[in-house]
Amino acid sequence: MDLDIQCEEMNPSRWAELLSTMKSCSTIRLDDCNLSSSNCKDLSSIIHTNPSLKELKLNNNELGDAGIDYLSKGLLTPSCSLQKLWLQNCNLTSASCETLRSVLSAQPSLTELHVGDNKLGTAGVKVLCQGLMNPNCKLQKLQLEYCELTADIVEALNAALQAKPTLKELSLSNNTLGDTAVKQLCRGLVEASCDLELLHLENCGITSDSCRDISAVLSNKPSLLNLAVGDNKIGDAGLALLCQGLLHPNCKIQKLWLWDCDLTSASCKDLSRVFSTKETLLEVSLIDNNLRDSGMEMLCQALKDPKAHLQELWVRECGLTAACCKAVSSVLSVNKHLQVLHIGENKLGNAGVEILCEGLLHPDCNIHSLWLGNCDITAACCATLANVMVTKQNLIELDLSYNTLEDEGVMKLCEAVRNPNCKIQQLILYDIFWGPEVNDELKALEEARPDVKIIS
Amino acid sequence: MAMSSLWWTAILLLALTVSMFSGAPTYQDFLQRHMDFPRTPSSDDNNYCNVMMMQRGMSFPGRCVTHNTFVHTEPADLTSVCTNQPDDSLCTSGQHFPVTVCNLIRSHPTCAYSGNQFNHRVRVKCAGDLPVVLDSTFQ
Repeated sequence: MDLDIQCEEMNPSRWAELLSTMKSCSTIRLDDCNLSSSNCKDLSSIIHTNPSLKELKLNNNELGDAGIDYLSKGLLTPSCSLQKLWLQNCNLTSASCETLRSVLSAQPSLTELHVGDNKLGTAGVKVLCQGLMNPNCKLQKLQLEYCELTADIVEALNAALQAKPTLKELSLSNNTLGDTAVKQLCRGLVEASCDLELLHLENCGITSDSCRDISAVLSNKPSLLNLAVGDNKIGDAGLALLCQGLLHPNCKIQKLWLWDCDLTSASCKDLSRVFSTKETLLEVSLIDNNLRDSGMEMLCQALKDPKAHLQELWVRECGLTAACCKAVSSVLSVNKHLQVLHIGENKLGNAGVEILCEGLLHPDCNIHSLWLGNCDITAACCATLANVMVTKQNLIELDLSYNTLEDEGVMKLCEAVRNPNCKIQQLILYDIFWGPEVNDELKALEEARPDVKIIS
Repeated sequence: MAMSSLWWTAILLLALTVSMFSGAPTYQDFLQRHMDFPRTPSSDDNNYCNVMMMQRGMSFPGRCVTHNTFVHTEPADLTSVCTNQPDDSLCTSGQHFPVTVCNLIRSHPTCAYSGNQFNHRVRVKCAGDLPVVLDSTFQ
């Protein structure tokens, strides 16, 4: 049984009621529930007495170091078989790391530890690494985002990596590590015997300087499936270096996150080569890069290659206009793999989106989720979109938020939803203004098509 | 929860006072989606967005709103922008206000946002002399 609560303020009677439920839960998630250290005493005894408990998620509660101290009493009991522990943004400091060190050393069942958004600091995480070094510890996933880590942490991390062949996921995003430390970390990762599957280094102060070393991780770790280096100013030069690793025959990358990396259209030549040769590649995010129409056109050319198996592409806020839509449309009409396209926050306009719709209507197009928020479209485009909604049976999710569709436009969409041929499950119309008439129609639609979620 | 119950009481009262306007979205929606004053304390801007988008009902597993801006000023500072303005008009604040812009960077396994703080002018759509939609914010 699962207990999954978020954003609920706990009063004593509600807490008492939940405690009796928690005695038999295998998952407990109490996210942002205003819990404090005193609740941890109760949770500790639940951990102690409930051997079926596998997951405990307590993100966004001010538990503090004292709370973790209470929890550890339960976590250190031999009967405890907890596998996943989430303590993100729980007001922990380095003092909690000593407690977590002993938990890591004592609990071979523990495979996931998420302690991001806590001011653990380099000194604290060094102590945590000692727990990782313990042969008892079988940790697979470690999340240390926003932990106020500095370059000095890498030596301890590398030592822990060498000692931890079980490790599969490591996230160090949002810590100011810098190039020197990232180079050192990459060398550690290449040497380590672990089959790392996920490496997240977003906003870590990476420039093109350390991209050669990240590239070496890509070409030496065939296990690596998910690399996130978004929010680092690697630029076109850094991307070119990364692509050497991505194009290496050893590299089996599936997910690549390169948002806000200061990329321009110049990067799209290298990215095209990756798109058209790496059959393993499934999801790419390039949001908030100034790729422009010319860059997008190069990517589209690559996506028409039979080897391109990409399923999900995020190109929100990439400086795109209607000029690139013909290229995108031709991808939609020949590429059977692409399922999700986020292309919002681009000035595509009605003309651009109408061209996209031509591709969408092609029988081979398998897009099921299309995101067109804030694309400068108006009511004039809605008849075309409505036609897609009733014709394209595999389109189940459509986002048109932040567009000035007017009452007339929204009414056209409502009409499409009323059509039994329309298979849309989620129509997202966030922050769009409409009058009472549309409001009444939406209410009526809720009853007529309860299977369709209209999110506004 | 970081939200004080006083704040929610205020929102509820305001919702009652503006219930004359029957269209959607409402001033109540505007407050819920776009106003956070004083700014809810947070460990960092990304976490601010992750938590606030969840608290204000814009982020559920598998259902993430892609973009949202929170304005950190007294709601009255924005209602004044709409005073005596015709319905459906776009009005821009003369003043700059602290805002946090949240952008979705991943939707699996949970909605993950990147947050950035700015000092921006705010453009709203007015109805019934009140802001109902946040159109955009800019320098």
